[in-house]
Amino acid sequence: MKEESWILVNRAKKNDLDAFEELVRLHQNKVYALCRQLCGNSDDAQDIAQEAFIRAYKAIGRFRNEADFGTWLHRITVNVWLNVCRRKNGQGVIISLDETYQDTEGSGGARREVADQSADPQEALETNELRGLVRTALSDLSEEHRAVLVLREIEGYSYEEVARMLGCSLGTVKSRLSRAREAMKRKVNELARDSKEA
Amino acid sequence: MDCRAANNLISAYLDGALSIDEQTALDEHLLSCPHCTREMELSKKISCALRDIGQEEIAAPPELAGLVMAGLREERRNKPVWLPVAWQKTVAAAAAAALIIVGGSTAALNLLPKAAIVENVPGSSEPVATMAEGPDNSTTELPASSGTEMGNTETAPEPASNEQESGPVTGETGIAPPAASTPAPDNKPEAPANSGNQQLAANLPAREADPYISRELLHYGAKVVSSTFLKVTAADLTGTKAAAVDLAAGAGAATQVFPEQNGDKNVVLLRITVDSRQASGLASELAGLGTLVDRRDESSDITANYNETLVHYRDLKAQLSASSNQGERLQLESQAASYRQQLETWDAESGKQVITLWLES
Repeated sequence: MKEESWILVNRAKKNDLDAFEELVRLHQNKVYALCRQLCGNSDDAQDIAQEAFIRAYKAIGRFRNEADFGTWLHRITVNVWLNVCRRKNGQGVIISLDETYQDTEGSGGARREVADQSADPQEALETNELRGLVRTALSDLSEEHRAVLVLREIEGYSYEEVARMLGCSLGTVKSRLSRAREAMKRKVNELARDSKEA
Repeated sequence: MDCRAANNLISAYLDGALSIDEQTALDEHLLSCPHCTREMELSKKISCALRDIGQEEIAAPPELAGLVMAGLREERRNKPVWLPVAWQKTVAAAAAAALIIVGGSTAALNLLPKAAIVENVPGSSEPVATMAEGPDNSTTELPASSGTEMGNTETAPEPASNEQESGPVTGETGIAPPAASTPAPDNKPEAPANSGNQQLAANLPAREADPYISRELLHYGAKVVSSTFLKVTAADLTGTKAAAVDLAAGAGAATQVFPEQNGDKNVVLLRITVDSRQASGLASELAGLGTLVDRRDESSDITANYNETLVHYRDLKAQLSASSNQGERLQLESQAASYRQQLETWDAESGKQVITLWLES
């Protein structure tokens, strides 16, 4: 952990609010960015970021200095987000056996033929254009799919870390990631096709 | 290897998680399959796009840090901040809240400022205290219970708890006694609040063996608080407030009242602690007092908060016995008292549900 963070964390553990404020300023972009990616909108993102920091302050006594403070903050952030999802969805985030067929993606559910070649977003697609499609597709994915893609691809966390943050097994992370990538690809194809027809 | 099998390996390939054999088989397939090659290329490009998105600088909104710290500092100054985070944003930081201690020991009731009225509402099993309407209210500030519960579901264990080696909080890093924190601005000798503090200083040593010193920390899951937040608008705030207090009393509930200011609107917060069996009925009645704007039902495991508060309280008591500086003692007394009140409130609320009613004109 960075030396300055280490000193600040130790002071924050002794209830030094100024030190904690400094930690907030140092890490707020990183925390907020994750919230933004998970939530898709800035209001929810801000609420979750705020809650995450407040929880972090209360839990800071349990933080071990060898760990990375930023990652620890992200763990708390994901936990807050998961709680919000659970509240929104009632019993819990819906886990289906084969999300390939899930209607929650909004694409109608039927699995597209692997050999569908009518729209190839790679052809003549600028990087920017693809990024735009990917961004839109990401916000259209189910919460579960979005979470694994955000944590693995956008934040770059390892399988193990992703499993820890989401509270699931390594095997679940791998299979969920695989399905999330497929769902993402389908979405991107669909969006590319729609924009061509438009 | 067929196309389906190749497709199944793409995800692992992107993460560099293929075995040598798998990699070889995949490479061979791709050499002779233009379709799968295209799929692979698209997958790679999407992956790159996601990584690029991750590199983008996203700046946190400028008010975020301020909001976080305002929330924490208010808690430190012992104001009640047990509202959902989204509601907290709209409550003016300058609101003066007066804590009314309800139920519990009569010793606690002695701490009330003269402006508060404690009455036994007929039909209620517990005394109800309300603030007297009057100009005194705005300057009176008692050490309130440091309501730390944000009211968010916390049924999953905190990720940080995985780092614990032992259950109780103190077992790990050993929370150091709080350093002499910046005195709250209103703890000046001439402030009215201090008369309350001095009363505390007189009362505390007179108490018998403090159960919170020797009590064991709770096991995870021991304390769950169910809460309902209701936001209701009504034209006649005073009348509606009185009606709410009546309804609560009718259900045998204890009520705490906090006048607040929200911009140019008047807001009254009522914190009603009611037996779980009566809770949903009472909540519906309260919601019907005006126009229901928002409702949230939540349950939270506050064991960690409880334990943390217990530990802080003990630290403060330990510091107290070691300190001989009068000014410092007064401050420690006041902080300890607020933690203790919070613990007592939590204990009193076991098996009960808390309904927070936000009344706005």
